[in-house]
Amino acid sequence: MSAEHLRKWVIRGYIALFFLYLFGPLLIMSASAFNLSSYPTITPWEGTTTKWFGELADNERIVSGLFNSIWIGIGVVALSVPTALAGAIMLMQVGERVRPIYYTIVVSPVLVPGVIIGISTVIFWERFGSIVGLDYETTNNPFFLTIVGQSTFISAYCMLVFIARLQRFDKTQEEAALDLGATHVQVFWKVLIPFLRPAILSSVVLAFLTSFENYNTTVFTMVARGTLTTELAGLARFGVNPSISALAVVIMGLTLIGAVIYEVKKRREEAIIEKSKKRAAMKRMRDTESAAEQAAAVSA
Amino acid sequence: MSDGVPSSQIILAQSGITPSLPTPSEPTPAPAPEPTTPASPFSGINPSLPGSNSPSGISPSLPGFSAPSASSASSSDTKDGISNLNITITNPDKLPELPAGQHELKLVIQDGNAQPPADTGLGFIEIFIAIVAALLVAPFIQRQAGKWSANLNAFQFVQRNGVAISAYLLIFTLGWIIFMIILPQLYMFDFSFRHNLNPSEIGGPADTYTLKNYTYLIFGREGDADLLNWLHLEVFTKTIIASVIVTLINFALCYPLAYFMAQSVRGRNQRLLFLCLLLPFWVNEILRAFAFKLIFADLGLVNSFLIGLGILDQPYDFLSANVALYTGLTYAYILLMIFPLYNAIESLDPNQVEAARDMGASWLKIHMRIVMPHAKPGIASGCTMVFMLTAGALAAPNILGGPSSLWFTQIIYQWYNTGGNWPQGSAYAFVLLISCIIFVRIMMRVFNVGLGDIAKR
Repeated sequence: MSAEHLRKWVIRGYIALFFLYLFGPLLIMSASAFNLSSYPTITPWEGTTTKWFGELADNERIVSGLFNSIWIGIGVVALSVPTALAGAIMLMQVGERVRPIYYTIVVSPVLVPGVIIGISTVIFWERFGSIVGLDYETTNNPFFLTIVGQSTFISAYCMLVFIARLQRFDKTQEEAALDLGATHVQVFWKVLIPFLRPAILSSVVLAFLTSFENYNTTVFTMVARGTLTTELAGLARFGVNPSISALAVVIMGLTLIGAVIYEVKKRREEAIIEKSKKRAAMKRMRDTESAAEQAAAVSA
Repeated sequence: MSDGVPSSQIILAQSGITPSLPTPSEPTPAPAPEPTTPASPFSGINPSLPGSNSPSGISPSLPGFSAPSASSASSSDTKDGISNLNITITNPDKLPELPAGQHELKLVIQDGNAQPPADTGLGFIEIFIAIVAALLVAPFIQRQAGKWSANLNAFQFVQRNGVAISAYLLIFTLGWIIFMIILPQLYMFDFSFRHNLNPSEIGGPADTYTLKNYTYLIFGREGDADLLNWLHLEVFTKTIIASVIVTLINFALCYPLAYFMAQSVRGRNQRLLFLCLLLPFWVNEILRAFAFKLIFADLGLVNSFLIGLGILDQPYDFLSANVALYTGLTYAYILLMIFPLYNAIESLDPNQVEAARDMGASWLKIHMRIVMPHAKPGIASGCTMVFMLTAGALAAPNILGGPSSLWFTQIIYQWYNTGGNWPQGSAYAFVLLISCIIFVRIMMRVFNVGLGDIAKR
């Protein structure tokens, strides 16, 4: 019993240390935003202030980067969510033989380093644009390049979300609607989309946040312009001003609120799915197994 | 560009018939703005788009009328005789004087072959790749052709989805696969074999293929004293080895927690634990790296602490020693290790562990023989994701790396940014990509899992 007791405490200690590792750095950074010291640190504590937040709002690059990030995020959502949906529906329809190849291709952006996606996007549009004769301004527009580059892999993330939900889609609903005279477009909007709505919402949030905080791809595709994240990286690398800590507090506050809402909703939905799955499994068991086997299962 | 030009000469060249008027000696390859419309690239006509509408007022009576594009001075396809017409504006300076606002229109009928050769921009390698791809795909298509035509898959596809939805599905999926996934990688591959040229030289005689971007990584500049390019090779090996070590540390850190979470925590506590694990990873990657900079900086927490205790006399430079970098990298992608592990272990029936324990298996044996084999897909997925992201990381090395130490992605970035040598950067990027592919293949082979298991999370 005492060994069991000890084991329990070791595990608890381990978890505590693990979470200290997870949260400690973020808490230290947040605290440094309120220190009067002109260098971001918590030791020594020179006095409490909020002036770094004010300095933040005066930083023009940060503010313009924020707007760039928001526009790009909207563009990425608009491009990657429909792409991901189409990709997921296609996966359900392609033949058995083609499916593994298709899946490998569309899932590969998840595994390719973001740096490489950024580089290849820039090169491709520059050269492809000159071959096809698109004008230079369009194909080298940093916003265009960033939206396309980020969507390459964000579409794959979102597609995985859609696939998870589409696997539970009841095809007979579609067939019933078609039999009753609905057009394909009507079926798409009135049956499929409402069914997919939770997945669409999740992927919109996922796409926007991933786009917002992406660095590796964006730093190549934005060329000379900056998003909030790339400006932040510049500050973090060279800047020794606590206003970056203040920005961290703002961003963390906002993302944490969003994350809590998102995660809680997702968990709730998953719990509902689990329940319905269990119910379905029970039903199947009742339907298929003989009474004797059922009795055995109950007694066991 | 030619807004104020008083007169222009338009020559309509029709192929297949002998010329009746002399062609201008120097047709300018510049876009041909229609004289009566403002020469803005977006208004009126866009001459650079193939198949775009011809300038108003001249074209309607002429069949197959097409304006030459900016990049290809002549896209004339001489196969079908009369179907192709080209507009060229001669150099306005050399034109005969005409009263302002008056335009001279000449119709020149000439042999299409006399046009300068088309510069389609298609290099040898594109054509080569297309041919190889066609040869590879051809037998497969031939084998499948019978089946396909019998099933009429394409037809069924449209029938099943309706025309509008089929078009949506095809346009988005094919656009994604072709223009965002496959072609960019091929172009980068092609680009990595080219010389670093000025834009004006591209397509010219200097634009040949070379292996020098790859040999530079191994041997360095020609004529260097050293045989090998030690600096870059060292950075490359360091990046790969450090990524492997970071992956192993992550695994060691996460495995106990994942096992505990999967086997012992249920219900409300589990949800809370999940939320706490997820929250730090919603915070921007840059900020997570910056937090470690604060901790390990000269005036940071660790140094103040150690000096306060009297262990150190003066701050130790953790950033140059890469301590901060490795800690930050381990932290950055830990979530991608813990969740695959958790998902894999969670599906293990606790009774199996119980049974093994009852039979007297040691603690180590239970994990080596039962839990880990069961969790193989999760281990493969977690390790692959962490390795790839660590090897491809750019933000953490930028922020946490010491001034003298480099990560391989930083060299790539330098070639693009300060180095200004894109082909060289592409070659390096391609080496990184190949390394990652090799790593994924090894993981798939060792753990005997599919790509789908790895990408799923």
